[in-house]
Amino acid sequence: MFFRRNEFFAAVLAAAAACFPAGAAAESSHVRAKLLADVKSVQPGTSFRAGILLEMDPGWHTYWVNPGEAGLATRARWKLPQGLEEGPLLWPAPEKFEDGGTVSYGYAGRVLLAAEIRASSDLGVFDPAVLRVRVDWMECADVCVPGGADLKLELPVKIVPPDADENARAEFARADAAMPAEQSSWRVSLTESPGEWRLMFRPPLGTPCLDKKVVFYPDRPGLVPPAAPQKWEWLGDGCRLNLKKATLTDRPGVFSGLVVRSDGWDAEGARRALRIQLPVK
Amino acid sequence: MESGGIMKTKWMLAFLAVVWMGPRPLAADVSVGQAAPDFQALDVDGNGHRLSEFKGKFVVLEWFNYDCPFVKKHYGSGNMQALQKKWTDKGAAWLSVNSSADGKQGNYPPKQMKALAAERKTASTNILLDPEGKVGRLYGAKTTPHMFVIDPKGVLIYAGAIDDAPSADPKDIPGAKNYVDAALAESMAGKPVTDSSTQSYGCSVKY
Repeated sequence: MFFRRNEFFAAVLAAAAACFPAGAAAESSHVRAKLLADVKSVQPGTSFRAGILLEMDPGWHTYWVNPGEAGLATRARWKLPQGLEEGPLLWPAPEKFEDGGTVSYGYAGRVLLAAEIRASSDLGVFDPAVLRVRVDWMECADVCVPGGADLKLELPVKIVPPDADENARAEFARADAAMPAEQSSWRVSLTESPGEWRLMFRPPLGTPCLDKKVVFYPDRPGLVPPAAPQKWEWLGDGCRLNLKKATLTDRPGVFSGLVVRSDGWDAEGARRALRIQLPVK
Repeated sequence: MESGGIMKTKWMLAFLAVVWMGPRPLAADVSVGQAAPDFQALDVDGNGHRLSEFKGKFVVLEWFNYDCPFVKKHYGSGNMQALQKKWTDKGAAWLSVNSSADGKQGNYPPKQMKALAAERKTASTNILLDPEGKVGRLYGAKTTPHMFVIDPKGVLIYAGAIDDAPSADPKDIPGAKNYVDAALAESMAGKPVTDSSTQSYGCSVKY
Protein backbone atom coordinates (compact mmCIF):
# COMPACT_ATOMS: atom_id res chain seq x y z
CA MET A 1 0.00 0.00 0.00
CA PHE A 2 2.72 2.45 1.10
CA PHE A 3 4.88 1.73 -1.95
CA ARG A 4 1.98 2.10 -4.31
CA ARG A 5 1.08 5.56 -2.93
CA ASN A 6 4.69 6.76 -3.26
CA GLU A 7 4.90 5.42 -6.76
CA PHE A 8 1.66 7.17 -7.55
CA PHE A 9 2.95 10.51 -6.23
CA ALA A 10 6.26 10.00 -8.03
CA ALA A 11 4.34 9.38 -11.25
CA VAL A 12 2.26 12.52 -10.72
CA LEU A 13 5.37 14.60 -10.09
CA ALA A 14 7.11 13.13 -13.12
CA ALA A 15 4.08 13.90 -15.25
CA ALA A 16 3.97 17.44 -13.92
CA ALA A 17 7.69 17.90 -14.62
CA ALA A 18 7.18 16.64 -18.16
CA CYS A 19 4.59 19.36 -18.71
CA PHE A 20 7.17 21.99 -17.80
CA PRO A 21 10.31 20.78 -19.55
CA ALA A 22 13.78 22.05 -18.75
CA GLY A 23 13.37 25.00 -21.15
CA ALA A 24 14.47 23.32 -24.36
CA ALA A 25 11.32 24.68 -25.98
CA ALA A 26 9.18 27.79 -25.60
CA GLU A 27 6.20 29.39 -27.30
CA SER A 28 4.96 32.85 -28.04
CA SER A 29 1.73 33.53 -29.86
CA HIS A 30 2.71 32.26 -33.30
CA VAL A 31 6.24 30.90 -33.02
CA ARG A 32 7.62 27.91 -31.17
CA ALA A 33 11.33 27.93 -30.37
CA LYS A 34 13.49 24.91 -29.55
CA LEU A 35 17.18 24.40 -28.91
CA LEU A 36 18.68 21.38 -30.66
CA ALA A 37 22.12 19.82 -30.89
CA ASP A 38 23.33 17.43 -33.55
CA VAL A 39 25.01 15.21 -30.95
CA LYS A 40 23.81 13.37 -27.86
CA SER A 41 26.90 14.13 -25.83
CA VAL A 42 29.84 16.53 -25.90
CA GLN A 43 33.37 15.25 -26.44
CA PRO A 44 36.04 17.61 -25.05
CA GLY A 45 38.32 19.01 -27.76
CA THR A 46 35.72 18.73 -30.54
CA SER A 47 33.01 20.87 -32.11
CA PHE A 48 29.36 20.13 -32.61
CA ARG A 49 26.39 22.17 -33.76
CA ALA A 50 23.62 23.74 -31.75
CA GLY A 51 20.62 25.18 -33.51
CA ILE A 52 17.69 27.40 -32.66
CA LEU A 53 14.63 26.00 -34.39
CA LEU A 54 11.80 28.50 -34.96
CA GLU A 55 8.50 27.05 -36.12
CA MET A 56 6.06 29.67 -37.33
CA ASP A 57 2.29 29.44 -37.74
CA PRO A 58 1.03 29.76 -41.33
CA GLY A 59 0.99 33.40 -42.39
CA TRP A 60 3.63 34.42 -39.83
CA HIS A 61 7.29 35.04 -40.44
CA THR A 62 10.49 35.95 -38.63
CA TYR A 63 13.43 37.87 -40.05
CA TRP A 64 16.84 37.38 -41.66
CA VAL A 65 20.10 39.00 -40.53
CA ASN A 66 19.04 41.97 -42.68
CA PRO A 67 15.31 42.25 -42.01
CA GLY A 68 14.87 44.65 -44.95
CA GLU A 69 12.65 47.68 -44.65
CA ALA A 70 10.64 46.53 -41.64
CA GLY A 71 10.81 43.98 -38.84
CA LEU A 72 13.78 42.90 -36.75
CA ALA A 73 16.51 40.30 -37.18
CA THR A 74 16.30 37.38 -34.76
CA ARG A 75 18.93 37.81 -32.05
CA ALA A 76 20.62 35.08 -30.04
CA ARG A 77 22.59 35.69 -26.87
CA TRP A 78 24.38 32.53 -25.80
CA LYS A 79 25.16 31.81 -22.17
CA LEU A 80 27.66 28.99 -22.22
CA PRO A 81 29.71 27.56 -19.38
CA GLN A 82 33.48 27.67 -19.15
CA GLY A 83 34.92 25.36 -21.81
CA LEU A 84 32.24 25.93 -24.45
CA GLU A 85 32.41 28.70 -27.04
CA GLU A 86 29.91 29.58 -29.73
CA GLY A 87 30.57 30.59 -33.31
CA PRO A 88 28.40 33.03 -35.29
CA LEU A 89 24.80 32.25 -36.23
CA LEU A 90 24.48 30.65 -39.66
CA TRP A 91 21.56 32.10 -41.61
CA PRO A 92 19.82 30.03 -44.30
CA ALA A 93 18.87 31.97 -47.45
CA PRO A 94 15.72 34.02 -46.77
CA GLU A 95 12.65 34.74 -48.83
CA LYS A 96 11.15 38.12 -49.63
CA PHE A 97 7.94 39.46 -48.09
CA GLU A 98 6.04 42.47 -49.34
CA ASP A 99 3.43 44.46 -47.43
CA GLY A 100 1.98 47.61 -48.98
CA GLY A 101 5.18 48.38 -50.88
CA THR A 102 7.48 47.67 -47.94
CA VAL A 103 9.86 44.78 -48.57
CA SER A 104 11.40 42.60 -45.89
CA TYR A 105 13.52 39.45 -45.75
CA GLY A 106 12.89 36.44 -43.56
CA TYR A 107 11.47 33.01 -43.08
CA ALA A 108 8.06 31.39 -43.11
CA GLY A 109 7.28 27.83 -42.01
CA ARG A 110 10.35 26.90 -40.04
CA VAL A 111 13.99 27.91 -39.84
CA LEU A 112 17.00 26.54 -38.00
CA LEU A 113 19.64 29.08 -37.03
CA ALA A 114 22.70 26.95 -36.33
CA ALA A 115 25.97 27.79 -34.63
CA GLU A 116 29.15 25.77 -34.16
CA ILE A 117 29.97 25.13 -30.52
CA ARG A 118 33.60 24.38 -29.68
CA ALA A 119 34.33 22.31 -26.59
CA SER A 120 37.76 22.86 -25.07
CA SER A 121 39.90 19.81 -24.42
CA ASP A 122 39.83 20.45 -20.68
CA LEU A 123 36.03 20.46 -20.45
CA GLY A 124 35.20 18.43 -17.36
CA VAL A 125 33.28 15.16 -17.71
CA PHE A 126 31.79 15.18 -14.24
CA ASP A 127 29.03 17.70 -14.93
CA PRO A 128 26.69 17.91 -17.90
CA ALA A 129 27.25 20.74 -20.38
CA VAL A 130 24.35 23.18 -20.05
CA LEU A 131 23.78 25.31 -23.12
CA ARG A 132 21.60 28.38 -22.64
CA VAL A 133 20.53 30.93 -25.19
CA ARG A 134 18.22 33.93 -24.99
CA VAL A 135 16.49 34.35 -28.37
CA ASP A 136 14.51 37.47 -29.31
CA TRP A 137 12.60 37.90 -32.53
CA MET A 138 9.76 39.80 -34.16
CA GLU A 139 6.96 37.63 -35.53
CA CYS A 140 4.80 39.28 -38.16
CA ALA A 141 1.82 38.52 -40.35
CA ASP A 142 -0.09 41.66 -41.24
CA VAL A 143 0.81 42.88 -37.75
CA CYS A 144 3.89 42.33 -35.63
CA VAL A 145 4.32 40.86 -32.16
CA PRO A 146 7.64 40.67 -30.33
CA GLY A 147 8.64 37.16 -29.27
CA GLY A 148 11.40 35.63 -27.20
CA ALA A 149 12.50 32.57 -25.31
CA ASP A 150 15.09 31.40 -22.82
CA LEU A 151 16.19 28.06 -24.19
CA LYS A 152 18.26 25.45 -22.43
CA LEU A 153 19.77 22.13 -23.46
CA GLU A 154 21.75 19.77 -21.26
CA LEU A 155 24.20 17.33 -22.77
CA PRO A 156 26.39 14.85 -20.94
CA VAL A 157 30.14 15.28 -21.43
CA LYS A 158 31.91 12.06 -22.49
CA ILE A 159 35.44 11.38 -23.60
CA VAL A 160 34.20 9.08 -26.39
CA PRO A 161 32.97 10.38 -29.74
CA PRO A 162 29.29 11.26 -29.48
CA ASP A 163 26.36 9.50 -31.06
CA ALA A 164 24.50 11.63 -33.57
CA ASP A 165 21.08 12.93 -32.64
CA GLU A 166 19.34 11.58 -35.73
CA ASN A 167 16.15 13.62 -35.37
CA ALA A 168 18.10 16.83 -34.91
CA ARG A 169 20.44 15.89 -37.78
CA ALA A 170 17.47 15.89 -40.15
CA GLU A 171 16.72 19.50 -39.14
CA PHE A 172 20.37 20.48 -39.55
CA ALA A 173 20.51 18.82 -42.99
CA ARG A 174 17.45 20.79 -44.03
CA ALA A 175 19.07 24.04 -42.90
CA ASP A 176 22.32 23.11 -44.66
CA ALA A 177 20.49 22.67 -47.96
CA ALA A 178 19.09 26.20 -47.58
CA MET A 179 22.45 27.76 -46.72
CA PRO A 180 24.05 29.87 -49.43
CA ALA A 181 26.93 28.36 -51.39
CA GLU A 182 30.23 30.08 -50.63
CA GLN A 183 31.58 29.69 -54.15
CA SER A 184 30.53 28.58 -57.59
CA SER A 185 31.91 28.20 -61.08
CA TRP A 186 30.26 31.48 -62.10
CA ARG A 187 32.54 34.55 -62.12
CA VAL A 188 30.97 37.54 -60.40
CA SER A 189 32.39 41.06 -60.48
CA LEU A 190 31.23 44.50 -59.34
CA THR A 191 31.17 47.81 -61.18
CA GLU A 192 29.35 51.05 -60.46
CA SER A 193 27.63 53.83 -62.31
CA PRO A 194 26.07 56.92 -60.74
CA GLY A 195 23.18 55.64 -58.68
CA GLU A 196 23.73 51.97 -59.54
CA TRP A 197 25.68 48.93 -58.40
CA ARG A 198 26.24 46.47 -61.23
CA LEU A 199 26.95 42.81 -60.65
CA MET A 200 28.38 41.09 -63.72
CA PHE A 201 27.88 37.31 -63.92
CA ARG A 202 29.88 35.13 -66.30
CA PRO A 203 28.43 31.60 -66.25
CA PRO A 204 30.42 28.42 -66.82
CA LEU A 205 30.74 27.44 -70.49
CA GLY A 206 27.50 26.13 -71.92
CA THR A 207 25.28 27.56 -69.18
CA PRO A 208 22.86 30.24 -70.34
CA CYS A 209 22.29 33.14 -67.99
CA LEU A 210 19.39 35.22 -69.26
CA ASP A 211 16.69 32.59 -68.90
CA LYS A 212 16.73 32.49 -65.11
CA LYS A 213 16.37 35.76 -63.23
CA VAL A 214 18.79 36.47 -60.43
CA VAL A 215 17.68 38.33 -57.29
CA PHE A 216 20.06 40.11 -54.91
CA TYR A 217 19.50 40.19 -51.14
CA PRO A 218 21.75 42.76 -49.41
CA ASP A 219 22.96 41.40 -46.08
CA ARG A 220 22.76 44.74 -44.35
CA PRO A 221 20.87 48.01 -44.70
CA GLY A 222 22.42 50.93 -46.55
CA LEU A 223 23.49 49.08 -49.68
CA VAL A 224 20.53 48.42 -51.98
CA PRO A 225 16.93 49.49 -51.21
CA PRO A 226 14.93 46.24 -50.84
CA ALA A 227 11.92 47.61 -52.72
CA ALA A 228 13.83 48.94 -55.75
CA PRO A 229 13.37 46.97 -58.99
CA GLN A 230 16.41 44.87 -60.03
CA LYS A 231 17.13 44.68 -63.74
CA TRP A 232 18.67 41.50 -65.17
CA GLU A 233 20.08 41.88 -68.67
CA TRP A 234 22.20 39.90 -71.13
CA LEU A 235 25.44 41.46 -72.25
CA GLY A 236 26.91 38.91 -74.66
CA ASP A 237 29.64 37.39 -72.49
CA GLY A 238 27.41 37.19 -69.45
CA CYS A 239 24.49 38.78 -67.66
CA ARG A 240 24.34 41.82 -65.45
CA LEU A 241 22.19 42.66 -62.46
CA ASN A 242 21.62 46.40 -62.11
CA LEU A 243 20.87 47.46 -58.55
CA LYS A 244 19.83 50.86 -57.28
CA LYS A 245 22.23 52.34 -54.73
CA ALA A 246 20.72 53.19 -51.35
CA THR A 247 21.01 56.92 -50.68
CA LEU A 248 22.45 56.64 -47.21
CA THR A 249 25.31 58.68 -45.87
CA ASP A 250 28.24 56.26 -45.70
CA ARG A 251 29.97 54.67 -48.69
CA PRO A 252 30.39 50.94 -47.99
CA GLY A 253 33.79 49.25 -48.02
CA VAL A 254 32.36 45.88 -48.99
CA PHE A 255 29.47 44.94 -51.23
CA SER A 256 27.88 41.81 -49.78
CA GLY A 257 24.74 39.74 -49.79
CA LEU A 258 23.21 36.75 -51.48
CA VAL A 259 22.24 36.19 -55.09
CA VAL A 260 19.45 33.69 -55.68
CA ARG A 261 18.78 31.86 -58.91
CA SER A 262 15.96 29.32 -59.22
CA ASP A 263 18.20 26.78 -60.99
CA GLY A 264 21.00 27.33 -58.51
CA TRP A 265 24.70 27.94 -59.05
CA ASP A 266 26.34 24.55 -59.17
CA ALA A 267 26.10 21.57 -61.48
CA GLU A 268 23.33 19.88 -59.51
CA GLY A 269 21.54 23.18 -58.99
CA ALA A 270 21.08 22.28 -55.33
CA ARG A 271 22.03 25.60 -53.75
CA ARG A 272 19.78 28.40 -54.93
CA ALA A 273 21.68 31.09 -53.06
CA LEU A 274 25.29 32.19 -53.51
CA ARG A 275 27.16 34.47 -51.12
CA ILE A 276 28.68 37.58 -52.71
CA GLN A 277 31.40 39.55 -50.94
CA LEU A 278 33.28 42.03 -53.10
CA PRO A 279 35.47 45.00 -52.15
CA VAL A 280 34.23 48.43 -53.15
CA LYS A 281 37.01 50.51 -54.73
CA MET B 1 -32.44 56.75 -53.94
CA GLU B 2 -30.73 55.23 -56.95
CA SER B 3 -32.06 52.63 -59.28
CA GLY B 4 -30.47 49.17 -59.20
CA GLY B 5 -28.83 49.67 -62.62
CA ILE B 6 -26.83 52.79 -61.66
CA MET B 7 -25.68 51.25 -58.37
CA LYS B 8 -24.46 48.18 -60.23
CA THR B 9 -22.44 50.34 -62.65
CA LYS B 10 -20.83 52.25 -59.77
CA TRP B 11 -19.74 49.02 -58.10
CA MET B 12 -18.39 47.75 -61.43
CA LEU B 13 -16.39 50.91 -62.00
CA ALA B 14 -15.05 50.84 -58.46
CA PHE B 15 -14.04 47.20 -58.85
CA LEU B 16 -12.31 47.92 -62.18
CA ALA B 17 -10.51 50.93 -60.72
CA VAL B 18 -9.08 48.87 -57.86
CA VAL B 19 -8.04 45.97 -60.10
CA TRP B 20 -6.50 48.26 -62.72
CA MET B 21 -4.47 50.32 -60.26
CA GLY B 22 -3.00 47.33 -58.47
CA PRO B 23 -0.32 47.70 -55.79
CA ARG B 24 1.17 51.19 -55.80
CA PRO B 25 4.89 51.62 -55.15
CA LEU B 26 5.97 54.29 -52.68
CA ALA B 27 6.91 57.52 -54.45
CA ALA B 28 10.02 58.43 -52.47
CA ASP B 29 10.99 61.28 -54.80
CA VAL B 30 11.94 62.92 -51.59
CA SER B 31 15.68 63.34 -50.91
CA VAL B 32 17.64 64.76 -48.05
CA GLY B 33 19.04 68.11 -49.15
CA GLN B 34 16.08 68.82 -51.42
CA ALA B 35 12.90 70.77 -50.74
CA ALA B 36 10.40 68.73 -48.71
CA PRO B 37 7.24 68.40 -50.81
CA ASP B 38 4.12 70.20 -49.59
CA PHE B 39 1.08 68.16 -48.60
CA GLN B 40 -2.27 68.59 -46.90
CA ALA B 41 -4.11 66.44 -44.41
CA LEU B 42 -6.82 66.65 -41.78
CA ASP B 43 -6.00 66.53 -38.09
CA VAL B 44 -7.97 64.64 -35.45
CA ASP B 45 -10.26 67.67 -34.98
CA GLY B 46 -11.11 67.74 -38.66
CA ASN B 47 -9.01 70.82 -39.39
CA GLY B 48 -6.94 70.88 -42.58
CA HIS B 49 -3.21 71.55 -42.44
CA ARG B 50 -0.53 72.04 -45.05
CA LEU B 51 3.19 71.57 -44.54
CA SER B 52 3.71 75.06 -45.98
CA GLU B 53 1.80 76.66 -43.09
CA PHE B 54 4.83 75.81 -40.91
CA LYS B 55 7.40 77.52 -43.15
CA GLY B 56 9.95 79.38 -41.06
CA LYS B 57 9.94 76.66 -38.41
CA PHE B 58 11.69 73.34 -38.07
CA VAL B 59 9.18 70.58 -38.75
CA VAL B 60 9.34 66.97 -37.60
CA LEU B 61 7.19 64.35 -39.36
CA GLU B 62 6.67 61.24 -37.26
CA TRP B 63 4.89 58.23 -38.74
CA PHE B 64 3.12 56.26 -36.03
CA ASN B 65 0.83 53.29 -35.36
CA TYR B 66 -0.05 52.93 -31.68
CA ASP B 67 -0.40 49.14 -32.03
CA CYS B 68 3.04 48.52 -33.50
CA PRO B 69 5.59 47.10 -31.02
CA PHE B 70 8.30 49.51 -32.20
CA VAL B 71 6.01 52.53 -31.65
CA LYS B 72 5.02 51.12 -28.27
CA LYS B 73 8.72 51.01 -27.38
CA HIS B 74 9.00 54.78 -27.81
CA TYR B 75 5.60 55.77 -26.45
CA GLY B 76 5.46 53.29 -23.56
CA SER B 77 8.78 54.57 -22.31
CA GLY B 78 7.77 58.22 -22.74
CA ASN B 79 10.67 58.72 -25.14
CA MET B 80 8.61 60.00 -28.07
CA GLN B 81 6.51 62.36 -25.95
CA ALA B 82 9.65 63.78 -24.32
CA LEU B 83 11.12 64.49 -27.77
CA GLN B 84 7.87 66.07 -28.91
CA LYS B 85 7.80 68.36 -25.88
CA LYS B 86 11.51 69.24 -26.01
CA TRP B 87 11.44 70.34 -29.64
CA THR B 88 8.02 72.00 -29.74
CA ASP B 89 9.19 74.00 -26.70
CA LYS B 90 12.12 75.12 -28.87
CA GLY B 91 9.78 76.30 -31.60
CA ALA B 92 9.61 73.28 -33.89
CA ALA B 93 6.31 71.99 -35.29
CA TRP B 94 5.88 68.25 -34.64
CA LEU B 95 3.41 66.49 -36.90
CA SER B 96 2.50 62.90 -36.00
CA VAL B 97 1.12 61.20 -39.11
CA ASN B 98 -0.97 58.04 -39.30
CA SER B 99 -1.14 56.39 -42.74
CA SER B 100 -2.88 53.16 -41.68
CA ALA B 101 -5.60 52.42 -44.23
CA ASP B 102 -9.21 51.85 -43.16
CA GLY B 103 -9.52 48.37 -41.71
CA LYS B 104 -5.78 47.98 -41.10
CA GLN B 105 -3.86 47.99 -37.85
CA GLY B 106 -3.37 51.43 -36.35
CA ASN B 107 -6.30 53.05 -38.14
CA TYR B 108 -8.83 54.66 -35.82
CA PRO B 109 -11.60 57.21 -36.39
CA PRO B 110 -10.54 60.78 -35.52
CA LYS B 111 -12.24 60.97 -32.08
CA GLN B 112 -10.71 57.69 -30.99
CA MET B 113 -7.26 58.60 -32.33
CA LYS B 114 -7.49 61.89 -30.42
CA ALA B 115 -8.36 60.00 -27.23
CA LEU B 116 -5.50 57.52 -27.75
CA ALA B 117 -3.09 60.42 -28.26
CA ALA B 118 -4.33 62.16 -25.13
CA GLU B 119 -4.01 58.91 -23.14
CA ARG B 120 -0.36 58.84 -24.18
CA LYS B 121 0.14 62.52 -23.31
CA THR B 122 1.31 63.17 -26.86
CA ALA B 123 2.89 66.60 -27.18
CA SER B 124 2.77 66.93 -30.97
CA THR B 125 1.62 70.13 -32.62
CA ASN B 126 -0.90 68.18 -34.71
CA ILE B 127 -1.92 64.58 -35.33
CA LEU B 128 -2.61 64.12 -39.01
CA LEU B 129 -4.76 61.35 -40.47
CA ASP B 130 -3.66 59.97 -43.82
CA PRO B 131 -5.76 56.80 -44.32
CA GLU B 132 -5.39 56.99 -48.11
CA GLY B 133 -1.64 56.97 -47.67
CA LYS B 134 -1.09 60.04 -49.88
CA VAL B 135 1.33 61.77 -47.51
CA GLY B 136 3.01 58.49 -46.57
CA ARG B 137 3.62 57.53 -50.18
CA LEU B 138 4.75 61.06 -51.04
CA TYR B 139 7.48 60.84 -48.42
CA GLY B 140 8.21 57.17 -48.90
CA ALA B 141 7.31 56.39 -45.28
CA LYS B 142 8.02 52.67 -44.91
CA THR B 143 7.83 52.02 -41.19
CA THR B 144 6.33 53.15 -37.93
CA PRO B 145 8.21 54.98 -36.63
CA HIS B 146 9.78 56.75 -39.64
CA MET B 147 11.12 60.25 -39.00
CA PHE B 148 11.70 63.26 -41.23
CA VAL B 149 13.12 66.64 -40.19
CA ILE B 150 12.60 69.76 -42.30
CA ASP B 151 14.44 73.02 -41.70
CA PRO B 152 12.84 76.53 -41.64
CA LYS B 153 13.68 76.97 -45.33
CA GLY B 154 11.66 73.86 -46.18
CA VAL B 155 14.67 71.64 -46.90
CA LEU B 156 14.61 68.01 -45.77
CA ILE B 157 17.63 67.62 -43.47
CA TYR B 158 16.95 64.16 -42.01
CA ALA B 159 15.09 61.04 -43.05
CA GLY B 160 15.18 57.64 -41.39
CA ALA B 161 15.17 55.88 -38.07
CA ILE B 162 14.41 57.54 -34.76
CA ASP B 163 17.64 56.19 -33.27
CA ASP B 164 20.49 53.79 -33.94
CA ALA B 165 19.13 50.88 -31.89
CA PRO B 166 16.71 48.90 -34.04
CA SER B 167 14.70 46.88 -31.54
CA ALA B 168 11.37 46.78 -29.76
CA ASP B 169 13.02 46.89 -26.33
CA PRO B 170 12.71 50.16 -24.39
CA LYS B 171 15.89 49.25 -22.50
CA ASP B 172 17.79 50.07 -25.70
CA ILE B 173 16.65 53.72 -25.65
CA PRO B 174 19.00 55.32 -23.09
CA GLY B 175 22.17 54.02 -24.77
CA ALA B 176 21.05 54.82 -28.29
CA LYS B 177 21.95 57.82 -30.42
CA ASN B 178 18.72 59.66 -31.20
CA TYR B 179 19.01 60.85 -34.80
CA VAL B 180 16.11 63.32 -34.58
CA ASP B 181 17.55 64.97 -31.48
CA ALA B 182 20.96 65.19 -33.14
CA ALA B 183 19.66 66.56 -36.44
CA LEU B 184 17.64 69.30 -34.72
CA ALA B 185 20.41 70.23 -32.29
CA GLU B 186 23.05 70.39 -35.03
CA SER B 187 20.87 72.31 -37.46
CA MET B 188 19.64 74.78 -34.84
CA ALA B 189 23.29 75.44 -33.99
CA GLY B 190 23.98 76.19 -37.64
CA LYS B 191 26.01 73.00 -38.15
CA PRO B 192 25.53 70.42 -40.90
CA VAL B 193 23.65 67.28 -39.89
CA THR B 194 26.14 64.42 -39.34
CA ASP B 195 23.72 61.54 -39.94
CA SER B 196 21.24 62.92 -42.44
CA SER B 197 19.96 59.67 -43.91
CA THR B 198 19.58 56.34 -42.10
CA GLN B 199 17.62 53.13 -42.61
CA SER B 200 14.41 53.36 -40.60
CA TYR B 201 13.21 50.47 -38.46
CA GLY B 202 9.73 49.51 -37.33
CA CYS B 203 6.58 47.75 -38.50
CA SER B 204 5.61 48.32 -42.14
CA VAL B 205 3.18 51.22 -42.65
CA LYS B 206 -0.24 49.60 -43.14
CA TYR B 207 -1.21 51.20 -46.44
